[in-house]
Amino acid sequence: MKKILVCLMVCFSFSILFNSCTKEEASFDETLLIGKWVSGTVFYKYVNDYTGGTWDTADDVTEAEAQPFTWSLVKSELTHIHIMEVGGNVPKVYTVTELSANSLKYKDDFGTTFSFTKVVK
Amino acid sequence: MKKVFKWIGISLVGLIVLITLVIGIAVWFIFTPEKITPIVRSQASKMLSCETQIGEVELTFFSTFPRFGLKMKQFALMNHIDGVQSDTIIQAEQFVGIVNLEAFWKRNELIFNDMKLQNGTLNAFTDSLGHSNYDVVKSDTVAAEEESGTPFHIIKLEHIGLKNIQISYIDQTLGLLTDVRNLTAEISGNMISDTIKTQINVSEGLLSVTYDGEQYLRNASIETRTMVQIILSKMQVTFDKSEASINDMSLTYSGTASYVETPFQVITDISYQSKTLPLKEVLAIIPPSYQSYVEGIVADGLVTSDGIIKGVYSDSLMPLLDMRIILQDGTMQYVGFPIPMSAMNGEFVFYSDLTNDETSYFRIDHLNGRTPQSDFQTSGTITHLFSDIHYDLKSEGNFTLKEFSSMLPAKPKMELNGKASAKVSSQFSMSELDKMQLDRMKFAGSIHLSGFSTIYDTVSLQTDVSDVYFEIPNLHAKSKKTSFIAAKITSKNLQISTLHSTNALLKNALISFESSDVMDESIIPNVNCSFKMDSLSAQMDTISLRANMPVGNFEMMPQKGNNHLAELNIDLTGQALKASFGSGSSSMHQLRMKAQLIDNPVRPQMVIEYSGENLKVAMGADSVSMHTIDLKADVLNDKSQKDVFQQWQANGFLKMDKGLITMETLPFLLEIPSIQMDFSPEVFNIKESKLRIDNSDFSLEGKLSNIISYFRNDSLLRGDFNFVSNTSDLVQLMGLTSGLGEDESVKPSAEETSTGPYMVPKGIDITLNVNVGLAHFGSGVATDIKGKLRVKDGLLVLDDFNFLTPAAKMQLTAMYRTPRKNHLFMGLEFHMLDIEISELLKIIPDVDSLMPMLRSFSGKGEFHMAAETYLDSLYDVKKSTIRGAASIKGQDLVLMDGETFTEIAKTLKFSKQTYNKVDSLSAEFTVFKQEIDVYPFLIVMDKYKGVVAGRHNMDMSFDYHISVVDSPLPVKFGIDVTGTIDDMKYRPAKCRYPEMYRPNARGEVKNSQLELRKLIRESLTEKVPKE
Repeated sequence: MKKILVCLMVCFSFSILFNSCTKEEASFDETLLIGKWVSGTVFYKYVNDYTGGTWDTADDVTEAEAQPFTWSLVKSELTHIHIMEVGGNVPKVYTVTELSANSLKYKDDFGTTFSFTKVVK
Repeated sequence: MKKVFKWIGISLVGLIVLITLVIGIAVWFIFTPEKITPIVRSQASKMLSCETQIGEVELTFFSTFPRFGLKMKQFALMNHIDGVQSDTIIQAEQFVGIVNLEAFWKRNELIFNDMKLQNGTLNAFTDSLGHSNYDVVKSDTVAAEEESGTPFHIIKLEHIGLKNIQISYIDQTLGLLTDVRNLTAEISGNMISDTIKTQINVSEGLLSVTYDGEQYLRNASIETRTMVQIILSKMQVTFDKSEASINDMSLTYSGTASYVETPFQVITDISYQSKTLPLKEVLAIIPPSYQSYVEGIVADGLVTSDGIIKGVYSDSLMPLLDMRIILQDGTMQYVGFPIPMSAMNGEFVFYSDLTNDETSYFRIDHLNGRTPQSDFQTSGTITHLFSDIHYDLKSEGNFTLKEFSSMLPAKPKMELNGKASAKVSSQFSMSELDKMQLDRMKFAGSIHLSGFSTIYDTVSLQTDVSDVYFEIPNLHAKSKKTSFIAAKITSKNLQISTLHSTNALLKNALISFESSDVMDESIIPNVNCSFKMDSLSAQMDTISLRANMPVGNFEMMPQKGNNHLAELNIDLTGQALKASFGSGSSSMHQLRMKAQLIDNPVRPQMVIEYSGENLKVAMGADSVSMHTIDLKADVLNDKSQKDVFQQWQANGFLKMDKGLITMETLPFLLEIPSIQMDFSPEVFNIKESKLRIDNSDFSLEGKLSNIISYFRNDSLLRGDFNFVSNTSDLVQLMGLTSGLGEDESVKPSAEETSTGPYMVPKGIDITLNVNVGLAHFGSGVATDIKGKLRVKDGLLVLDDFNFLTPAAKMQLTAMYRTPRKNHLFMGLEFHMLDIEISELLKIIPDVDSLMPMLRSFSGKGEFHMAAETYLDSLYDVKKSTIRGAASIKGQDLVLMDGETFTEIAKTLKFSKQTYNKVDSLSAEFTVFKQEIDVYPFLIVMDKYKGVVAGRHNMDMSFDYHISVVDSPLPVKFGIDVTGTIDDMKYRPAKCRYPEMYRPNARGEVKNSQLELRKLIRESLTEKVPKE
């Protein structure tokens, strides 16, 4: 019984330990997002009607063949919903960490970060 | 008495001596030349108007004993008129005349007992105005004679001898030049009143005759024995049993010739009969203007002739010749017919006035002869001798054909061999023959060929026995248009072959042929050919054909409105047909074929009706059989088109039934119960099409439209078909077709392997409405398979395929699009409703990797999945393009009772009564590039509730989080599980989703997660029909 109590206490302690205060969420200007961004061979294009496309030239895909998505930027949460031709959507949610005229950085819940630079026409 | 006679004798001798003495004295002393010559010269000048030369004139007795004669030496008469060949009319070295003085004195009869002219010349001339040089008797003398008539009762020439006399007679009014050299003749006769009867015997002379500028005789040796009566008043000459010989060719003749001065006419009625004459010499005396008729002919033999020459000769008329000619043992060679002919015997009639083409003819009553290897006979009539000679002949012959090889043209190569017996009637003219105007000539007859063979260019023909009947023109034509020629060929064996290993053998063949003028190049000929034979065998390279009892008809004619293009009609039936080609063979019974071909240099058309029974085609171990086949096609060959489908445009229908196909590569029979289809250039309408393979059967119906428009790039190729199958064994079918056509022993070359991916055709829109009742795939079955397979403009879609399997009701949509070779799109939407989880893992094993816990569940759920990616030309996935989403949902699942559950239950201290049941499972996960995101889902088990979420990477690493939100513990906690299956790390973590499944308590973030899940699920399930 003691062991159980010890275990419960430990768990409780952990649960308290891991509860933390929520930081105030940053907010970014979505107009800065409009345009074409590149990271290596990967391109993302954001259009002001909240549509966009992505392609990877390493896989011999051109801009005209870009796969479509819709996007939204709420404060720092950037959501891509990739639209499949056969039906079905693939949502991807990221947290923007930096957005400027030339730089875009975001990360996902699994700690993967992404960094893009604006493609100047 | 003796003395009396003695004295009488002495007295007579004395008298004779006395008379002789008196005569001698008279001749030598009284009538001396010196006394007579002036008298004669004086009388001559009185009687003749021309110049005379009279040498010495003497009275002869002893040289003309017992009559007195008058001998003149150097006698000549000379008279000049313009154009005369010589001023000398007559000239003789010596002229001796004996006149019966007693008859002259007592009876007023002028009887020349003898008259001799030697070494003389006679030149008679009449100019074109009728003036003659021999008109030298003075007019008063003539007038006196004319007034009193002949001054003598009788003028008689008992004997006139001519020796070595040269006679020249020119009559310009007649255009006649006659010249006789070295004439020796004897003439006797008398003249009573105006009638002269005379006999002229010419024993020697060389005669030349030129008439109207043409020389008929030139120094021809002549002999005559002429009995002639001349009636001066009528100017009529009558020959009686006369005989003449020219160059030893003698003939007898009799008849009359009358002269009418105005208008000039000679009326003849003379009959003649020749002795046997050498043909060669007869031909030699043919006047030059007629030599053209025998030009190039070298002939010999013996001829006899008889006939009459009757009628008027004048400036414009010639008397009629009616001549019968008999040829014996003749030979002939002709330039245009380079085969010598011999043993020619014949009988001919030449009937002509040498002027009138209409009435003249040459009739061959019979003519037979031989060539070195052939014989012939002919009869008939040859007319229009003076214009375009026309032949009307009936001929027979037995010919050795090789003999005539030299007459064949050098090009193209021609050969003739064998024997031919022919009977031919012919009517043609020389001009028609020269110009080969077969449409104007008439030929009819029969030819019996034996051992016959011929080569024409590259084509050869052989027959052992054949009969050919022909007729030009065709008097029994089926149509006026084929009235040029008819031919009928019957042959026991007829073989036709070419140098290029093509041959055909016809047995017991009957071929009837009729045609219009095939030589007329201005129009396509009308041809009608029907044939019937016991068998036909043909071979071309490795292809052979044999037909039993083929019967057919072939027609060719010019098209309406275009004489230069042909229309062909073929009608063919046959009891049995067999063909072989290389290792293949085919056979058919009751063949019926009709074909119509309309030729056109750009757009030829063809109409084919074809039917047959028991069709069998075999190629090696593969074979096709068909019980019946019917085909009707109207085919247009548009050569202006580049594409083969546009070049061949067909309208028609095809019907086949009870077909069987066996193939070495297929272990099963392919049965074709029936196929029926209509086709046109734009539309293929498959009314019925059934196929059965072992346990599988198929039926295809529908339309394929816009075919030509598609190839013209005017329109999409559209197809809408119903594909129905009661049973399909998919594994068997895949096994049958896998690697079909590939030779496993031959490795594909790099070129072959780089031919690229399958590109979905563009410009087509074809829909296959699939309805399969039962499909076997291995041990599994699917039933009630329905859906649309659509190929549209570069996109291949399996649209809403619904089917039932024992595991689940399934719905599948798949897309394959090929925008370019190195960018191929493949998408898949898959719904499995009410499926056993274990079956799902079998069908899609990858799900097990994503959700390994599913392996432990049992029960039914539903699974929805959508995925798409692009592939490169080698079908390798372009990872950056991978997109996918899946949703799984299960209720009342059972955690399988096993070691795992026992372990979990023991560790987590499940209650003893706990039935290993999972209340619910609802999860969504997505695939993006190489990331597989598992969205938070709740698992409820016994006293535990956990929310699981995380990421699985394509490299099989993962990062999961489990939030234990309900447990016997009073706190919620989380566990992070990271690493790989082989190197898994557990780490306590903050409970990320403590309130996710408590609607009142969950926050915005949790809600958004659920919204995404909802988005995923709804987008996946929106096409699933609601039940």
